[in-house]
Amino acid sequence: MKFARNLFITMICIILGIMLSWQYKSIESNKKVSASQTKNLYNLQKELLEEKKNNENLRARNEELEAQLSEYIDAAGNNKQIEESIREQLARARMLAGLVDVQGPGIEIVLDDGDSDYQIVYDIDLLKLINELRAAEAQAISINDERVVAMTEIRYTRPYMVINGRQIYPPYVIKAIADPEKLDYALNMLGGVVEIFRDSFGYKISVNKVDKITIPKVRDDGSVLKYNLLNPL
Amino acid sequence: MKINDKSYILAVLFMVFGILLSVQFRSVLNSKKNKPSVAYQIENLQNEIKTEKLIGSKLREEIDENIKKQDEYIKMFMEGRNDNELAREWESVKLAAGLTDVMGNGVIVHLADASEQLGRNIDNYVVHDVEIVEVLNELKKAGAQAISVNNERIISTSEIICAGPTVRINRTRYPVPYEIKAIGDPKKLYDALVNSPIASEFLMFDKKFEVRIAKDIVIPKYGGDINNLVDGLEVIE
Repeated sequence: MKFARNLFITMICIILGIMLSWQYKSIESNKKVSASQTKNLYNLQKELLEEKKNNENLRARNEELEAQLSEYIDAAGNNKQIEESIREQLARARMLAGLVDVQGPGIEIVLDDGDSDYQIVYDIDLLKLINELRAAEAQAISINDERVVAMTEIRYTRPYMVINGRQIYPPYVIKAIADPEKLDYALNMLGGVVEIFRDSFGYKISVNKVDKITIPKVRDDGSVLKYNLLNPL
Repeated sequence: MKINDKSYILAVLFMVFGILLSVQFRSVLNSKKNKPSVAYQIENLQNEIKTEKLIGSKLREEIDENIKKQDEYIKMFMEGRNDNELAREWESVKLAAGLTDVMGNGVIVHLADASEQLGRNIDNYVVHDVEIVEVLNELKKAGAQAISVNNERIISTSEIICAGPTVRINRTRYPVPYEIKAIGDPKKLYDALVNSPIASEFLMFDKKFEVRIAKDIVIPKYGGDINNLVDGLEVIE
C-alpha cells in the first residue's frame, strides 16, 4: 500500500517534470517566433524608410531637372544663359570624371604594412577602404596621388600595388574630399575598418581630418581613361 | 504525521501546477494579443513598400524623360550655335563621367546566393558587397571601359555597400540577384573572371557565378544628380 502510494507520487512528479520542461520549451519557442516576427517587422520598416528616402531623392532630382528645363524654355533665344548652364554642368562633370585638380576639406589616411612579414596590405584591403570612403559619400579620392576614378583598378603584385597602371609602394597615402558636414559621419563609418586593420591585421594606420586637401586629376596620357570600345548612344 | 506528510507533498505539487498554469495562460494570452497585430502591421508595411516602389519607378521614368528633353535642348542649342568645340567637349566629358548611354561588346555576369545552404554558416552562402567589389576590380584589371550593376552605372563615386539584406549602389538599394555588365575586350574580360580567385570562392559554396560573352551590350548612363556628388569640391586652376 505504502509502496503503491510512493510509486503513484513518483509518477505524478515525473509527469509534472516532463510537462514543465515541455512547457518551458514551448514558451521559449513562442518567444523566438515573436522575436523573429519583430525582426521581420523591423526590417520591413527599415525597407519602407529606405524606399521613401529613395523616392525623396528621385523627387528632388526630378524637380531640379524640371526647373532646369523651364530655365531653358524661358531662355529660348537667350543663348548666353543656356551656354552658362551648359558650362556649369560641364564643370561638374569634369570634377566627377576626375579631369581636374580639386581641393576641399577631407580625410588623409596613411596605411602601411605591419612589422612582420605576413602583415601585408593587399589590394582587397585598399578596395574595402575605398568602398567605405565612397559609402561615406567621399567626392574625390586618391591613393599616393593617383586619382581613383570609375574604372581604376587596384592590383597587388609583391612588393608593390598597381593603381591606374602605375606601380605604387607602401606606405599608402589615401586622400578623400567629403562634404564638411558629412566628414564626421565619414570618419565614424571608417572606424570599423580602421579598427580591424590595426587590431586584427596588424597594419599601421592613421586617420586625420584635414581642412584643405588637394587631389590631382587623373593622368591624362591616355592610359587611364579609355573609351575606344564604347559607342555613345 | 503520515497524513500531514502526504498533504505537504500534494500542496507543493499543486502549487507548482498552479504556477505552471498561470505562466502558460499568460503566454497564450500574449501570443494571441501579439500575433494578429504583428501580422497586420507586416501586411500593411508590405503594401506601403509596394506603393513606394511603384512611385519610384514612375519617378524614374519621368526623370529619364526630362533628361532626354534636356539633351534635346542642349543639342538644339549646340546646332544653332555651331560651336563644334563646345559640343565635342560636352560629349567627351559626359562620356568620361559616365553620363552617356553606351553600347559595346563585353561580358554579362550573374551573381546569386546559393540555392541551398549546406554548411552551418549562412554568411558563406550569400553574395556580399565586397565580393561584388572584387568582381568589378577583376573587370577593371582586365580593361573594362564601362560597368553597370543591375543597370546602375558605376561612376567614380559609386559605393557598393551592404544595407540590410540588400546592397546600396549609387545611393539606391538593390536586392540579390546581381547582373553585372561590362564593356571591353570580351575575351580578356571573360578569361580574367573565370580564372579569378573570387570565381572559385563562389563555386566552392555553390553560389551562382555565371559569365557569358555578349555583343552590343547597352550600359545606361548615371541618372542621378551630379551636383550632390561634387558640391564639396573646388577646382584648382
